[in-house]
This record gives sequence, structure tokens and C-alpha cells, in this order.
Amino acid sequence: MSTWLLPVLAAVLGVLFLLRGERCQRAFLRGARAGLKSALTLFPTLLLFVCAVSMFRAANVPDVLSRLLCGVCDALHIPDTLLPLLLVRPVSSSASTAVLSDLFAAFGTDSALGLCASVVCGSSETVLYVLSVLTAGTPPSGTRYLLPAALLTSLFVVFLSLCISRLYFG
Amino acid sequence: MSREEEIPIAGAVFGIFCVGALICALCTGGGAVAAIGQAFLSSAGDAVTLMLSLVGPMCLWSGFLEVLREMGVLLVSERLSAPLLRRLFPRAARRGEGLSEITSALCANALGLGNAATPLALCAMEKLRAGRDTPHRMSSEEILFVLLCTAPPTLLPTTLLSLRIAAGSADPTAPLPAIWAVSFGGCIFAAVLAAILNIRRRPHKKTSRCGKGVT
Repeated sequence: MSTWLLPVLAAVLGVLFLLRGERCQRAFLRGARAGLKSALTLFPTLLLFVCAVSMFRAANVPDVLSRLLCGVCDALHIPDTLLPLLLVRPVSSSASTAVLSDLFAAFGTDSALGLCASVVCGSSETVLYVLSVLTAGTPPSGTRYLLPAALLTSLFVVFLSLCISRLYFG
Repeated sequence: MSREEEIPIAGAVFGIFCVGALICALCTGGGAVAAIGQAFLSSAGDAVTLMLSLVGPMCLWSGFLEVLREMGVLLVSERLSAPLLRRLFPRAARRGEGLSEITSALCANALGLGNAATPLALCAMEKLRAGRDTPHRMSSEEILFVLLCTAPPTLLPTTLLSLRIAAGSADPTAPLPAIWAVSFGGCIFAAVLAAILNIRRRPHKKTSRCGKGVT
């Protein structure tokens, strides 16, 4: 089913261009220009984290980390290669992009692990960033049960994505 | 949510990565220290390669989504999700303020319009804040909205798709059904959790106060 998505989207785009050529073209150019701009602003942060992740990988930290935490991982049924991704995902989107592309390079995009990492990244948010932006202006005591609920929810999302990707991709 | 901005802690992540790598290399010994130095320099080139392979898909998505927005697809999705959201945010619906901002923020998020979603979400928060009972205490609807933003419904995870295409995936959309299932499951969990926690802390019984937007 999902293999049809991109061709169908492209066809929709084509039909829209046929119906409303000029307006669509202007909108597309505007959007693509905005995309280029956001890619450019993304680059410096991404550079920083690609750098950090490659050092991390060169020093074999993921292996050491997974050996240290293998008890915890086994108990929770988390693949230990996913640990670095799970740790940075709530904090920074650039860092998780760098870690994810490193995982893709090491294990392939379409391996069970690559798919699992994709599901984790695609369905979760940079929780701490969102919380800090949206609650700005409210004193911490005024947020009531927000923080525990947000943490519980993101834990739930991580476990659900692990379970579902195990069912789905083996 | 926007992909460019970062919270200050993100800098600490870089620090942890670097210091952790050095400590780990010192402990394991061997050629690890030399390998770090090499990785540090060569990674700058890798970052450019990654960026170059990401720019194309990112621009394409962004342009495509802009066309969809221009053609009113966002409005259609807002109209479809409005009945459900009216039930989740009854007080905002009754006050007649904030519901449209909530809907468009969540829809923009779902369609991967991250850059449009952040200002919309802030706008929705502003409107919800106007309906607070006590000025320094978030209402249950504000909390539910923030929760839905931290576990948003996702239809098109554009950054992930760009990254998978950039990495040369044979089937970049393969994880999509699983992502849909997980993100909608997360939304339901968030809504149920918020409802449970809200019942448990009912003592502050609210009387609905229909103050119009104080900005």
C-alpha cells in the first residue's frame, strides 16, 4: 500500500498543475525556496552533530553503552543499537537526524533495525523543545500534571513503536 | 514543530557526545584516540554530503506541501477533524475562540508543515490562555493541547522521508503505516491520560467564565 503513496502524490500534484498551472507553480516555487532556506539554517547545527556522532562512532561508544546498559535494554526489550537515538530524540531534532543517518549508513534503511529507527523517529517529537516553547510564560508550578503526562506519553509512544515495528517488520 | 530551532540543552548533547567519546577512547585504548581525531575532521565533509543529499528532497516536499496548502487541502483536513476536536476541547468550542487555531496547528503538524505549525500552536496557546480560570495555572485544555503537540498525529513525516530517500532507501515509504498507527495510538493515549489525570484533580471545580480574549 505504502509503495503507492509517492506515485499517487506525484499524480495529484500533476493534476493540480494541469488545472491551476500558474497558481500552483508560484506556490511550488515559494515552498521550495522556503525549503532551501530552512535547509541552509539547519546546516550549521547538523554539522555540529554529524561531527559529534562520527566521533562517538569512532570511539565505539555505542558498543560500550549497549554493553553497560544491556541489562536494562534486555529487560525492556529495546534493541541496544537504538539507545543513542532514543536518548537524543526528545532533546534535539538535528542530533537525532545525525544519529539516524549514521544508523542508516551502518545498518541500511530497509533492515528491520533501520525501519524500527524510522518508526521511532517519524512518530515521536522533540518533546523537551515543544514543552519549552509552548509553556513559556507559565511558571513551572502552573503546569500541573503536564510534565509527568508528557513523559509518560513519550515513553508510551516509544514502546508502541518498538512493538508495532516488531510485529510489522520482524 | 519547527526543525531549525533548538533548546539550549541541545548544546549539552554535543558536549556529552564529545567528552563521552574521548573518555571511552581513553578507556578502550588502542587506536581509538587516533580514530577520533580522524573522524572529527572527516566528518565535516560527511556533513556536507548528508546536507547535499537532503536539500533536494526537503525542497521538493516543501514545494509540494505549499501547493497542497494553496489548493486548500489544509482546509479540507481541518473541516474533517473539527467534529472530533470540538469534543476534545468543549470549553474552547463553547467560547468560540481558539478551536480553529488548534485545528490548523494539529493539521499542519500532521501534514509535515513543521514551519507553519509552530506559530499556529503558539497562537492556539494564546487563545486558550485567555480562557484560564486562574492566571498562573494552565487549564486542562491547554495541557491536553500541549500533550497532543508532543505526540502529534502524523500523516507525512517529511523530514524522515527526505532522510530515507537521501540514504538511498529502496522503499522510502515502507514505515509509514506503522508510523500512522503509532502516532494515532499516542494521541489516543495522551487524550485518555489527560482525562484521567484531570478527573483525579477535580477539587478545583471550574465555573466557565466567558472572558473575551485578553492579549
